[in-house]
Amino acid sequence: MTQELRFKIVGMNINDELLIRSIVRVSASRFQVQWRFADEAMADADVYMGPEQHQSLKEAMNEQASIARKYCIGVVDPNETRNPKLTTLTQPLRAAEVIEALLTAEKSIKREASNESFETLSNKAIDSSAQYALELTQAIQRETVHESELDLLLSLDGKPQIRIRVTDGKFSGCNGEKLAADDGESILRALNWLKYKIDVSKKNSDESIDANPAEEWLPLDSFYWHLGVRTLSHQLLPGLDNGMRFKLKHWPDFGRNGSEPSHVKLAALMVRRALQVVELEKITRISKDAIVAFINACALCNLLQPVDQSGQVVHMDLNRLQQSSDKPANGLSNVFTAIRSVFGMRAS
Amino acid sequence: MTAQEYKLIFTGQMGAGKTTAIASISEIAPIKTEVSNTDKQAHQKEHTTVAMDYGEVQLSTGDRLRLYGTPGQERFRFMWNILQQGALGVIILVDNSQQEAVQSMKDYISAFKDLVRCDRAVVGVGRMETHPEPSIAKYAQALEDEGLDVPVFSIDVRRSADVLLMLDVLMNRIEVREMLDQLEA
Repeated sequence: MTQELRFKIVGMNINDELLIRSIVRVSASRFQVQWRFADEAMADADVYMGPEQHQSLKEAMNEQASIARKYCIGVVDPNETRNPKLTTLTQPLRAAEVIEALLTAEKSIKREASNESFETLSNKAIDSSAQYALELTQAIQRETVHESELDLLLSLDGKPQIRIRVTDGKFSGCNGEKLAADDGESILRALNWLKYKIDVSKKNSDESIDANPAEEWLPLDSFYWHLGVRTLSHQLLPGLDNGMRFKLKHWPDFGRNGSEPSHVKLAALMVRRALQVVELEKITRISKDAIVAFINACALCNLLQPVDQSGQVVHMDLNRLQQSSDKPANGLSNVFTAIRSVFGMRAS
Repeated sequence: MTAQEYKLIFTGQMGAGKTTAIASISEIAPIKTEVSNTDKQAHQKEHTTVAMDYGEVQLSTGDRLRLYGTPGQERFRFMWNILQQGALGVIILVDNSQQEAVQSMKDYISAFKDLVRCDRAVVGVGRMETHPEPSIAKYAQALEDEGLDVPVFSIDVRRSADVLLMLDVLMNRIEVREMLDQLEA
């Protein structure tokens, strides 16, 4: 259904008012909204047009400053100074300028309406970054499963930070925040962790998207990856537990998301064998927190492979694992140490 | 003790970035055997490798890591077999902007199957920022369909960090394989 906007002409002579009405009527097909003229009896309108000095326009301009979903178009004589903050038409009125001003008004109002139409899904203060990440990912996944036509907007103090396009699994920074798939810090910075407040809202994806065309849309998996490895280190996600053995379907894309040496070591093991957290700890000497974070990140990115606990698992002897990791390095390990050293690569 | 030499191979279709990858980590100026590209149907690049590219890295142990880039054209396939003998591993480079990129990867996987079977292969897919399809998941699926476990990453061979990532993954795989083999022996 076409959106309707109310348009009020104030303080203008009858000839100009009739001219504007005619221009709008004959140019109806040029607009995306249906313009309806508000008469004097109507107290409110979306767009006000008239001389800047007219009392009604001044009041509307004051309201525009506080309520963005209102738009004013000033009309000035050629010798008057234009207000740079206002869309202004110069007398005598020309059809092209009137149409252009109304197109600008409808675009501005739609943009504001689009932001207002986000329905708040979650808005709560949380006491830790891990809990924040968990709440956030659960909110995203609920929507991904149930309402794939929705976009999500993650906001802080009412200010959009990250927009998530559920339809094709992409995310982007808002407010000119430049995000990079391999730069988790930029993603976390955009979410401003220190305040630990989650505000997830949703909108219909067919509504106009107020996205900066220069913004890069990145794969949602990169978002999940950084949330997982950087914040979900204290406990396994719901549905996972320490008694389970974890195996990877395939390697995470470290080329896109970046990696730590511990991630490479864990992936190398977990694509070969289904292992428990305690076994991974014994084999790799990597901290439990880092292992848990890695497993959580893999779970969020759908990289964990269901393991048949009864059949396919090779049960590992923890003592043998310990002895294995204590063994002195063999010839190839020495070479690898030298290669890592010459390139300044950190071992896990 | 005699200094040892270790061989790392970079392979892939013409224009996949083998020469660039070697240049990004070699200590010496890479030795190239490039001539004018007469096969513009296969790739638009001006020059292409006809024998091999070579770079090297001196290790603190006195050992040397030799970096070899194979010629990309199928007619030099006989050289691939010679090069892979005794190699530490192979890094297969794929240009995602080329048609049949997944098939190209499968061809090189097949050509270097001895190294692939020993967990000594890694795949790097380039130009994904401009050509996101096929996705990394599709490459991984194609390998899984053939019962193969080979890591696939989106990379930019101009960045030495990306080339080193593939080298690190290769070393980790070899270490893990040796360790698990010992455990299960």
